[in-house]
Amino acid sequence: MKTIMNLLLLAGILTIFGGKGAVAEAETSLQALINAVPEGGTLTLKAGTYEEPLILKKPITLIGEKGTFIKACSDQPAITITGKNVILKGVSVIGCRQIPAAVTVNGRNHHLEDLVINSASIGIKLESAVNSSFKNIEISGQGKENGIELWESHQNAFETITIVRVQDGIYLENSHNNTLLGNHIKESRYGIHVMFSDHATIKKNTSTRNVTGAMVMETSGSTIEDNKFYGNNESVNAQGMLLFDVHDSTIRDNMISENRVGLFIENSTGNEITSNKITTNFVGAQIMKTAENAIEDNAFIGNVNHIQAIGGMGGGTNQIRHNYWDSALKLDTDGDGKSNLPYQADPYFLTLIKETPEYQLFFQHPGLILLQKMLKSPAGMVVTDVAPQMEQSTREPLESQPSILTGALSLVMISTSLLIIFYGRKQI
Amino acid sequence: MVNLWLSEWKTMTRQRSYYTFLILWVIVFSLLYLLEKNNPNVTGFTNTTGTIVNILLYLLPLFMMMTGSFSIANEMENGQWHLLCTYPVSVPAYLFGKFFGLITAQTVVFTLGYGISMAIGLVAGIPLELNWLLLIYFFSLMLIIVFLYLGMSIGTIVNTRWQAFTVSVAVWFLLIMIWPTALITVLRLVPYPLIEPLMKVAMIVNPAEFLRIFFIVQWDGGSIFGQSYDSIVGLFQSGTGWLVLLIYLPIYFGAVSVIPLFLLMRRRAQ
Amino acid sequence: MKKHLLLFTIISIILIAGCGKKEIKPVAINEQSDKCEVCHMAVKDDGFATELILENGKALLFDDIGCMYKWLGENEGKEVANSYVKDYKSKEWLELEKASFVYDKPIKTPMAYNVIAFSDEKAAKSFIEEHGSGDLLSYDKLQHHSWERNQDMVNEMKGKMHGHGDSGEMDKNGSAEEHRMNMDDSGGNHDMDKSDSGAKH
Repeated sequence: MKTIMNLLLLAGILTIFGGKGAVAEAETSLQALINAVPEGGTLTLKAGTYEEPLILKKPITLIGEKGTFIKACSDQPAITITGKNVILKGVSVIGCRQIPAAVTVNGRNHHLEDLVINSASIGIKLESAVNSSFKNIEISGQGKENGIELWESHQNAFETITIVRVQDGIYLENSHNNTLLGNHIKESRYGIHVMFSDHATIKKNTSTRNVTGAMVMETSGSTIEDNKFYGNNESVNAQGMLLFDVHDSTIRDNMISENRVGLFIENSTGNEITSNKITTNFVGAQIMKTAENAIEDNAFIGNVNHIQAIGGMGGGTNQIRHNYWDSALKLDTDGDGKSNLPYQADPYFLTLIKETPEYQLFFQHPGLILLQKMLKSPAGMVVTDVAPQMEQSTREPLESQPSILTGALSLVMISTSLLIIFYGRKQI
Repeated sequence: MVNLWLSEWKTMTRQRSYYTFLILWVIVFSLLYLLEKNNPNVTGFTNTTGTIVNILLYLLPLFMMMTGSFSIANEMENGQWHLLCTYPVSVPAYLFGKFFGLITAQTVVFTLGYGISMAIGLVAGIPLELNWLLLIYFFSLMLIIVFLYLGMSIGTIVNTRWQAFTVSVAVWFLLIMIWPTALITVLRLVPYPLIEPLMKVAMIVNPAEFLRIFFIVQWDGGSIFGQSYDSIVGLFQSGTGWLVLLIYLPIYFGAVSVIPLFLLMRRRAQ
Repeated sequence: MKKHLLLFTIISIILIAGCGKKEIKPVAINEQSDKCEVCHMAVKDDGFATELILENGKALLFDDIGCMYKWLGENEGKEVANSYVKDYKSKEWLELEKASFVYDKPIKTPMAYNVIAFSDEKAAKSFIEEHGSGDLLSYDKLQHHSWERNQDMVNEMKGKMHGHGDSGEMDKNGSAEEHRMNMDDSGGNHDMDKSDSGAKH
């Protein structure tokens, strides 16, 4: 009898302990909580660090309180989103190198907002994701993987995303009709990298201190407007924007400044490149093997070398006109605001360095005047703007702050040298 | 040596031609600054910088070589050198005394002209950045020093002022004007893999090239030179970059000094 | 004396030049500053890079075998001394002529030509086995490879109505049917078709 009682007691204790264990597990397993949320329901995460990979496959909303961290170091992404209508907000993700991506997205109509992702892996990877939107996300990496990657993902929108120190900020491959708006990418390899993706809309983005601001390749029908690509000048292959195999696209109102090469165009046809401000680059625009592009109403200001271009593709030519060239001699006799003197640029230097890249050391060499005479290109090769703009259409007011230091320096220089001259003349 | 230095400096300040340099520098720099009034920012390696660098490379080496070579050739021609030979002055003391005198004279007048142009630029409301101005100033000073010395070396080779003039112009034409054309012509004869090392050697041999590239790198323009020079650009850009310049210049002077010292000593012995 | 010096320099330059010409070796990839001669993308030191050494000793790097063949097609007059590809497995340089190749649409290469190289036929075959699909190509077969993405691009240049990126997409995931459908479709609903087909995957 007594032994039976004891046994029963033991069983009871075991049951209690066992039960308690299950409850505790349910509390720590976030996945179980997520699974318990009904479709359309919302789960708010308490601040804290959750170290388990999450899978969101139902249309639910997951919101993190301030200070919610999700850590992942397994072979799973920190957060996997599939299905449709998943909303994810206010979460920080910390990932390691070995995870495939911090966040993977697949399916349609998802919305991700206010995320902070810090991972040596890919930040967000979209595979066959459609119609989803991404907003106010901060991504930082270690320069080895891409910030956001799109594979066969269409009609997605990316807005106000900040990306630092990744390989390519936003990488699109075989992904059409995506919109990139107001994103900021810096200190990476390529800011925006478009591959085989058509009808992309790239607007109001800023890309700076990268190897290349925007690497736009193999696309047609895209719009690149109002972006700022500047300060991409550290790498020997740096450029503000590169267009390679780009067709029937619009490149308008961009500010391309302080890059090694501002605008690099090759193998591209039928593009409208208008009203861009291409300023203070080492080379403003470098154009090769292109045809039937319209290069109009752009402003070329303060570039060490405005334009280098080698002939058309398949006998075609580009329409280059009405651009503003600050170093051009301008004369307008008929009052139409366009100069009667064409602006011409001989591509001899580009031809020279294409054959022997070592001669790039002669860039802007004072002796090039003579070399140019010797290597004069045939007339058909010379880039010609038939009617350059007389005045710069959009001129920003200059903020000139006479620096006190500069003034002081000039005074010191003047007074010291005068004193020395005075001393030299006086004493004998 | 100090006496020679001071006397050279004092004779210079008494020459009227000395002050034409002042006028020249004020006009050149003021014009350059004023022309760039409409440009957005005059800081890094822009067309303003490129233009100024090129104009300095046209003017400074030629003028400095002529000044340097004339100062020696003149004394050879009018017999002052023979007079000096009767005094117990050593050849290096003579050479370097004159050299420092000329440097003092030229840098002072350049500094004055540069300072005045800067003031004019500031009054005209042109935003000039301090760091950028200082780099142009140092670039000019280096050119002045290097080419004055090269000019003096020319002066020891030639016999007359007319010869000094022609040789100076010829050297200037070779080192500045025809340099890329000549190098490209010569390098066409060598196999491709040798082009890169020979270009680097040529850069070290020609001080104008060395200084031009060094300063363009300081203006953050180094990436334009391409892949072959990535390591050189990296070296110039790093903290040790200025140290490299400080090592290069004495070595260069040492190498160039061999000719004038040898020739002067021989002439003295005659 | 000066003449002797000059003569000496000239002779030594010629001698150095003569010595330098003998051996052709592939040069290592510098990920920081090397770029593809054709598409201008950075060349990674991975299993896709290729390299041409010209007769004059100049080395050209490519990020994809397809880019190298594109360059060869466009520069027929240039004399190539030797060409190298990276072994997909060991990531070491191989002579192009001694390598075996695998072509398969799902293989992701930097410029989507979908061809990778292996040191011998065995390695290539074992990759195909592991991978589940793929065409084995010998060096000779590779010379006649269509470089399909390239081919589509030519078509696309001829009739510009068709969206350019289609080719790449279809190469990778599309069935032949979808491909035809898209190529025929040149109207306004073009984009819709594409995004829908993408969503199905």
